[in-house]
Amino acid sequence: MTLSLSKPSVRPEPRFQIRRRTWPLDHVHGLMPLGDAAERGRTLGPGGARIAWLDTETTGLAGGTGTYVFLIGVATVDDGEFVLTQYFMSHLAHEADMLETISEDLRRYDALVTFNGTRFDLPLLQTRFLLSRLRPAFDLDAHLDVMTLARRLWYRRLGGYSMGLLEQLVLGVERFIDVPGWQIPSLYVQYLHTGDLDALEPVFAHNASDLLSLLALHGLAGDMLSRPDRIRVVVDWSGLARLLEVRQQIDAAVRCYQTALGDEHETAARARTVTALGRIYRRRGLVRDLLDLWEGELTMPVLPRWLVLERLAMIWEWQFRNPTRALAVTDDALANLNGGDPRPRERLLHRRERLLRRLGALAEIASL
Amino acid sequence: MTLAQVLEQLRRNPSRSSRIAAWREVPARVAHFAPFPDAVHSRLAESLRRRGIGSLYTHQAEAYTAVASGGHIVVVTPTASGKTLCYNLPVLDRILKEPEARALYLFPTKALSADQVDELQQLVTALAADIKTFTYDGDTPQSARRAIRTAGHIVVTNPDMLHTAILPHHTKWLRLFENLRYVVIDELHQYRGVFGSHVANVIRRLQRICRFYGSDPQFICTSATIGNPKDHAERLTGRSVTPIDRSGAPAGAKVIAFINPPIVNRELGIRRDTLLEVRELASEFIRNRIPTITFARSRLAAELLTTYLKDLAHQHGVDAEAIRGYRAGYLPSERRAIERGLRDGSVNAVAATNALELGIDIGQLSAAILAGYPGTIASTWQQMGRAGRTEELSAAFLVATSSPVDQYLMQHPEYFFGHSPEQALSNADNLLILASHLKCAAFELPLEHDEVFGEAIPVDLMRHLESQRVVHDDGTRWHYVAEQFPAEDVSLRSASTENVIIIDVTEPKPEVIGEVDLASAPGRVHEDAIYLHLAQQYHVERLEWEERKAYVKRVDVDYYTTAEIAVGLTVLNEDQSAAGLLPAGPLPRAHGGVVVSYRPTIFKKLKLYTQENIGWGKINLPETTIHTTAAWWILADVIARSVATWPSPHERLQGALAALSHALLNIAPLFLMCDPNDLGRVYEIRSPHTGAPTIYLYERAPGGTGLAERMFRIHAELMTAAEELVRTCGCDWGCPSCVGPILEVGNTGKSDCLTLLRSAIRHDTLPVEAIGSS
Repeated sequence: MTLSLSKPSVRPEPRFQIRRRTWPLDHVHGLMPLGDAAERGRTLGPGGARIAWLDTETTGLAGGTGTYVFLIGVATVDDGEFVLTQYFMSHLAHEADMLETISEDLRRYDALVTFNGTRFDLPLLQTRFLLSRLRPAFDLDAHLDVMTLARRLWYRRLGGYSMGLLEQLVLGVERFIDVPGWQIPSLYVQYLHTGDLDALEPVFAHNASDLLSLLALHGLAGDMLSRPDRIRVVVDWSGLARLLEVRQQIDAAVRCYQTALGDEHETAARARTVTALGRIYRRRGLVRDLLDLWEGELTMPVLPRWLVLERLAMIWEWQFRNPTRALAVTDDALANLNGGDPRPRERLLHRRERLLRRLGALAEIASL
Repeated sequence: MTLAQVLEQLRRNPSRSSRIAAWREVPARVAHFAPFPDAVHSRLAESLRRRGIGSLYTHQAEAYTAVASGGHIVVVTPTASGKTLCYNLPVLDRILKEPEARALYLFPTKALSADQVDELQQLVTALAADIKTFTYDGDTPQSARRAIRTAGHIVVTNPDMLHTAILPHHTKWLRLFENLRYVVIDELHQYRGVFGSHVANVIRRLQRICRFYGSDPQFICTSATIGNPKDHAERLTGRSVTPIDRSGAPAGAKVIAFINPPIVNRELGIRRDTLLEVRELASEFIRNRIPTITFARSRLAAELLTTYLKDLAHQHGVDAEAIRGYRAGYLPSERRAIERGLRDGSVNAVAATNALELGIDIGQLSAAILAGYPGTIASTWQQMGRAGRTEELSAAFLVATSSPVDQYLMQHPEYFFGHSPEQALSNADNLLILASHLKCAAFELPLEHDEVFGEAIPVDLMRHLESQRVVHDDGTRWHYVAEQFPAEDVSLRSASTENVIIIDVTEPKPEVIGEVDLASAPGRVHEDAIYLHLAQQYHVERLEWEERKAYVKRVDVDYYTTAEIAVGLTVLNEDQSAAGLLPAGPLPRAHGGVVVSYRPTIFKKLKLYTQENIGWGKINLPETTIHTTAAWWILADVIARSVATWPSPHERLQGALAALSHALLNIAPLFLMCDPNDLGRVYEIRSPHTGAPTIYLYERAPGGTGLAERMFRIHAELMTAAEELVRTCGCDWGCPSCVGPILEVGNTGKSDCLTLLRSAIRHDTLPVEAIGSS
């Protein structure tokens, strides 16, 4: 359905266009019905009763004042339906009118959800509003960028987190006819030149698919974080654990970190995960678990032996207050040092000296 | 010995004094003070007094008053005359009175801005006011940028950053643009030629953005002495500008001398090596610990001079650690240390390149020695200005090389002393440059149909950009609709952004060592060429023309290569406004748009020192063309009078035209404040355009930057100077310093060239020599 805005206008051509499309909430996109996705996503935020999902199509990807937003898709759940409203700038002269209308419409919502909105869509829109001498219609704080979640959940497993990759490998969504993102700017310029809207139909469809997938991802992420024990898709457990930890779901985070350690063989990632898990143990006073965790690493051939021993020395020194044992482990760590970086050696020697001083002081007290 | 005694000795020693081509004594100048104008904020005046500045020099007070009354100014006073206070005073004063006010400082180079920010920072600290000054350049960390954009009162940057980073993102700089009161352009004279033409357009864009945000900043410019500071500032800013050029700063007496090294090879017109001459001259200064700076024209020469001066120190039993080199490529921290050392006296002599020419504060030295003419009168004065005390005597020397311009100056010191410095030329309406910036401007804000950009409403260019689908016309405005970020494709430092990069593949890991612009690439990096970079020879292994890449390997050979390039020139249009000025005299001339084509044909291998031809090869490269501007001279009449008597008219005419065009090309940069490489020459025995023997001098920068028109206008000076250059050259039959080597111009080239020139300028008093006596 295409309708031009019925404002009285001296110009014969439409000032800009608004298209509306709806889907029933039981329509399945990705792994669950749209209604469920909206529900599960809500647990993640952003705060506020009424959420709008937003995605833009632009005349360039570099940003800056000369990049126009020519299509803005805003999706909402309204009256038991998933409603997509697409604002299309059919004429460059009427950008301000379009932005004003969007601004008016967005006022009915409390928060926005985007995919890469923090870095792309929202600053760009802000620029457009400023250039049209309008006040931006949204509050950057009431915003969730699903891309930041996607990065943690999937980057290490998939080697990327673009919408296309996630649709393919996580959501299992296939786009039969799609226009590649890089072609979109030139299609719009083509339209400006010819006035032939048909050429832009794939772009409208692309924008709609992006918004459906955005909702699906939002829902999936919400689902994963609220029920981490029932995850059926590929996931970076450590990244998930980190997200849970940030959300104070500590028990779930511990379980996910533990799962992550089950098959993590990359040194830096394993070190991060062990450290993160250890930090939780330490904060909870689970010193035995902390010791077991790091001692367990001695039997795994992933982390450098000196590093594990250094951590163990720290545990013996501070958690168990056992300088004798800490000194022995420190010496062991020193004996296991390799590599050219002088800093670990300095750290260890420093620790060794401190421990020796403390032991000396203890001996003195004992001799009194 | 004191400096005065060293100078006296130099004049009395016969073998040394014979090399003095000029000796001028500039008398001391007393200071002229003015009280702080009443309007100056009391805190600012107070803080300056605490720093020992009890009153202003007259030019500083004049600058303040002119700015306070709302005008745009350009301050033109010597080095170390307190120029920076001319802008810091009104700017800080305004911010104290209006904390919302903002200022933008533009410096041509990074090193310079670092130095000025230091000084500004000290002033601000002394004020104890909440005035934030920030440098915004390529080194500014991302994390600091947001704070600078919103909170910086004074943003210090360069035109390149303004062009690529600030203007295209102006919405992020809302606070700056809404409140921008002053734009400070330091070292205005640097913005000339292609660079200046670009910067003028960046300023036009800046002014558009300011209009959008409702601000209208005043321009405060400073410049070294150039011939046309007011005109140049007005061209750059598009505003009516008041020059402030009467310095109130004091100066001690100064000796300025030209030293011409003795001739060692008369036939080739070669003189003793300039650097050796400088070494000899510097010896007494080093021995007597007289603070000295030498300027060399290349990094290599600066390095050599450093070695020479250190040797001298050893010889004289002076601390060699007090002698330092200074050039681009040194780490910033090293440079700062040397600058400090010069200020506090722990560094006694420095061998520098023009990296030190700009207003970097190194205090004042007693002697400056220039190894070769820096290329313009203006930069010569600037480098010489490095020596100069407020009370004591100082001395500056120009030691000549064998190059034509240097030799001309040695023969005609009055040219330097009597002539006002060159005019800085720029042509902001160069079509290529203008089109580039219109793209950027449209990107920044849609362009109204009736909007004036610079001088005119650029309808034609916008229609052209529209046809290229760079912009789209919505009926009243043009919108940028191309995908590329336009500023990135436009480099301010050259007209054409296309270049060939040079990749050293000697080591397993290839390294980019430089670039040549596309137009000169066929002649310089064709396959088997020997390419010189920082005095190292490279052999061009492969030239990938389509990819614009030349692969080279380091070599050490005893020859160099020179390419023969068939240069063709077609006149597109003759400037009609010039037609009325055409003299009825013996040498009609014109200027206008031309297409120049380059077709490389062969290259020759010439042995170093002997120039012996030891081989040649073919160059297989496509012809390249550029649209540019040229000035040309039609020699029909002057030749008709003599050619009939020539035994082999065609060949001889060829030699005469070659000689004349060579002489004009040698002398023109002196008058144009341009690099010799900015111009090229073509001569035709029978030009298809004029139907007569014609000499063209064209601009190498695509589109032209105003040099051609300037040559057309200063024709009389050009011809007179060329005649003098050729007449007074020490060679017999022609040399690179005057009309070109004898191999090119023949036995008669030099004398025929003189005849033509004399006939052209109708120099009645000169005896006309018989032609064909050889």
